[in-house]
Amino acid sequence: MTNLINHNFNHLKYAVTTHTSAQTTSDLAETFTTISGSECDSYAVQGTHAVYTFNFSAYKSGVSIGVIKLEYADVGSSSYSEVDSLNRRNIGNAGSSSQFNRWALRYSWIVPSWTGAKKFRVQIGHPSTNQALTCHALDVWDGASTSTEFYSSSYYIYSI
Amino acid sequence: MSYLLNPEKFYLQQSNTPSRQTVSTTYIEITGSKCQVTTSSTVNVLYQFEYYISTNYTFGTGGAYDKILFHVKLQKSNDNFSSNIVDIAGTKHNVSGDTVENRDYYYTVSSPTFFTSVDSNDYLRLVIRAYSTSNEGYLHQMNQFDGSSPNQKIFDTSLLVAEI
Repeated sequence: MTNLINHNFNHLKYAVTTHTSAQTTSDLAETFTTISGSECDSYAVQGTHAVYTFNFSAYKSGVSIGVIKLEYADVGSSSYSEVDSLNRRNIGNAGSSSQFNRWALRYSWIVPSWTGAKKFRVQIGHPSTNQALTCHALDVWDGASTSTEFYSSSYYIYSI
Repeated sequence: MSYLLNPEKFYLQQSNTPSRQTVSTTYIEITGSKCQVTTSSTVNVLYQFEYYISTNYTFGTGGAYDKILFHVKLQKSNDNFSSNIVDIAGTKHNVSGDTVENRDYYYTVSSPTFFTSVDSNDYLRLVIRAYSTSNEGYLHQMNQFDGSSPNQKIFDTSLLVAEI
């Protein structure tokens, strides 16, 4: 193992969220839901850019396409804006109603510097109806169905 | 607002052409996922691993491929997983994909990320099993590349562990 001393995440901020219930995204088309655990309440960049990374789990029985975006707002404001509309991410498949997708997902965005402190959140929506995903909960574990297992989501943000 | 200014250590590890692993219904350690965090005290770490998942493509012609459904979790140990083995809460997750037809392939890179605390000289690793004998598969090796099949290539795993 290589041990690199003196590398660091500059001005790192992170949070882990322990979930005890599932979060279901919207079955409506083009309706975005904030993924719980993604919300960073305040961050002031110290450099030319910040890197925001979010990790969570999701599953879907049947067809689903997820559109994932990062938003931010000034601290104290409720008016969010998308960080970069050209930097959305897709997950999912559209092949068959009998497929079953399960993921541990990690997405990162590089955000140009800004003035003051901003808060962040990750949202997910779907292009068509009835494509909701279930986040944070597991439906199976160790060869059997389960309703008591959950995956902890986490985010971290640092400056470069 | 609080920041962590100077994380003390980064551990970077890449496996060198790992052998293909078969995932069945007994937990196995994923090659390249194990590391020892050498600290003098309890620390929090970021653990980030990338590895390759593939359909078991070696079944006989005419048969159906298994439809991958894997269980994955992070463990730690103070004796290199000899007798002290602890499942870390909140790290259990599943991986499955679009495998409907009998001969569907499923290839994906999985990149789980965790934060956890470790004590001095603790080990960390990821373990994996299949949901049932109908959901087995391979790690690290693909069966098709550059437009030909079979053309088996290996994906090297990568591990980042950072004290934070």
